[in-house]
Amino acid sequence: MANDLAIETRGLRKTYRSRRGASVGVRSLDLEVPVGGVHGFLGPNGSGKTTTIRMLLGLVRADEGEMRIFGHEVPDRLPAVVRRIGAIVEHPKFYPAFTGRKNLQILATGIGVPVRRVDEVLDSVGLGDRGKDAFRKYSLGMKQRLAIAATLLKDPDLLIFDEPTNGLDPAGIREIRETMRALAVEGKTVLVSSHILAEVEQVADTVSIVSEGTIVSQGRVADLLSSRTAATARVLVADPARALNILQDAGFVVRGDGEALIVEGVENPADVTRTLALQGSYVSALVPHKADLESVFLELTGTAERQSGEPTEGVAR
Amino acid sequence: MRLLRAESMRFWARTLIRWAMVAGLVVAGLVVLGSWSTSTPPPDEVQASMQADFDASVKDWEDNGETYVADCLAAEKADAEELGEPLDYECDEMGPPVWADYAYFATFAGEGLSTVQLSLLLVALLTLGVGVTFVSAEHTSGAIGNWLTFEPRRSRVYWSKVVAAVLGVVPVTVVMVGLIAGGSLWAYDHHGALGRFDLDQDLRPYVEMGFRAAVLALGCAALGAALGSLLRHTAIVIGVVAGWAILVEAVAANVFDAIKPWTLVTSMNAWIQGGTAVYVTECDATDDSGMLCDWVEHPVSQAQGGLILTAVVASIVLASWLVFRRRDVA
Repeated sequence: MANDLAIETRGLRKTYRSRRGASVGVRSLDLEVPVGGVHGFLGPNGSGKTTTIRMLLGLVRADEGEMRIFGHEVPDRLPAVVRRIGAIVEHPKFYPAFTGRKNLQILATGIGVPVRRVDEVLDSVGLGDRGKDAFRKYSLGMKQRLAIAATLLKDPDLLIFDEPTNGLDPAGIREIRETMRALAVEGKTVLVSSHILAEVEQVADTVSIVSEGTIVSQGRVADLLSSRTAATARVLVADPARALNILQDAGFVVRGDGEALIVEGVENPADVTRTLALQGSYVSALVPHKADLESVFLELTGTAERQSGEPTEGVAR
Repeated sequence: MRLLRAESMRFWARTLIRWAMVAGLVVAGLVVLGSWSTSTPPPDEVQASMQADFDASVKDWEDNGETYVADCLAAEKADAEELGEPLDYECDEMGPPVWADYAYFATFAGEGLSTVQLSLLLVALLTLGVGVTFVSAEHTSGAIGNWLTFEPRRSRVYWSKVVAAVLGVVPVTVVMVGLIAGGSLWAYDHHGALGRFDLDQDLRPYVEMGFRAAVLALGCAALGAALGSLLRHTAIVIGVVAGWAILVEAVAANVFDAIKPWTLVTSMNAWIQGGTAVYVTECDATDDSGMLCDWVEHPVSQAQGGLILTAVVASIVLASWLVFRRRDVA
């Protein structure tokens, strides 16, 4: 297993058993999260992201497979490496009746961090003046910020955020995004699972896409976008029917879209304008549409058809 | 020690636990108040009336006692002849009136001690509840998952919680036991109503009883913490404990007499009281094919009670530990 990986799993498998039968949470999952930067962990609902994170943190037992964090085999060697990990799994869960400060003081005492650090981390997430309020009175955004503050108590090298922007308003989402970026700039590794693909695309350096409990693709976001889906172009011409024939004759994959034409698989938009111009059909407008993470995600997970007609947010979990 | 310190912080930060302790102290205070009230001698006019009744009975005995005994013996003889078998009307036990039969003063040896013994069980009930809510709240809120991401060594986490629960109830246990046992004894002694309780002779066993009650309460705190971890919801624990109390301690123990000496209530009584006795119905076939049943006293020793309680607490605490070590945490 490589030393330049913050997280590495091999053949990870988890089956949940209940009276209703067994359901596979994760099957043969090979995850690689490089050291440094933000790594997006994407997948549809029930694809196994949270289960994987729970297994990495020792909350859930894996049935099979190996996991390493910074080269330490987990969960057996988790105590040796836990000081380097900060994690928020799903919704932040603290003692509802305790104040934010008391919750962090207890955690700090438990891990042997000086209690004065509590005020530092509360200030760093903008909760300095709300630390005396009971956790149950916090808004979801404040709860998330308190959870981030808790992870920062340890000054960890690896931060794991499971759906950190769930329920946050746009300002809160932006705050979390900036926090993650700032942590990455500090040299920390951030693993973020999120269902808001645009968010991940903006913040992630690398990404893993999981579907039905197994990784279907992972690597640098830029590489993934350039390799998996070619760009499309929306073309406006005076005579769309004639232009359609010209482009089809030239070998383009093209379809009508009202007054416009959609040309698929365009590597260089100039090819389209040149082809049409040579035939005396002049382009009045051409809008290239680059592949984004969402389209890659839908293509890889095969959820495009299932998701048709539904907003794409909420695809992964 | 870090974990224990953190758990102790959490223990004392829980408002419900603090209120439970205040409630416990109030209950202990009420027990002492009850002892004070019970042991307070009746007003002078009531005592004068008692004295008058007693004096009248003494005079009646002095005037007619011999006649009463003679009448008793005569009736005994006549009835025996009529039935054809010997009878004993206990005429020889007839004697002058006893003051205690006329003066209805509660004594510590009588009412006081049994009230104290019963009240000491409340301490155990309180510490059980505190142990349950202390640990189950963490499972219910989901905070245990967060905690384990900071400290993944589950055995340490588990034992720190159990020990924190036990240490946390020490102050309230000591104060409650001291108040109930010491306060009640003081109240009766203050009113000169100790009865047959001899301070020189009986004080040491009495203090030892208080000590045993405190040990039981601490064991119950550990049991509560273990049940809280095992069942994860206070409501479920209450259901299980109430179900056990009704089905086993009440119904089954009455239907199947043979289990009476082994129930938890009997064991707790035996442990606190330094031994107790239960009555079990035993039936034998008679010569003419009938059944003759009798109540037979079964002594239950303090050691037996302590052993059963230790076994129960130890098994549940260990079972809960094993489950917590392996269980997936949501």
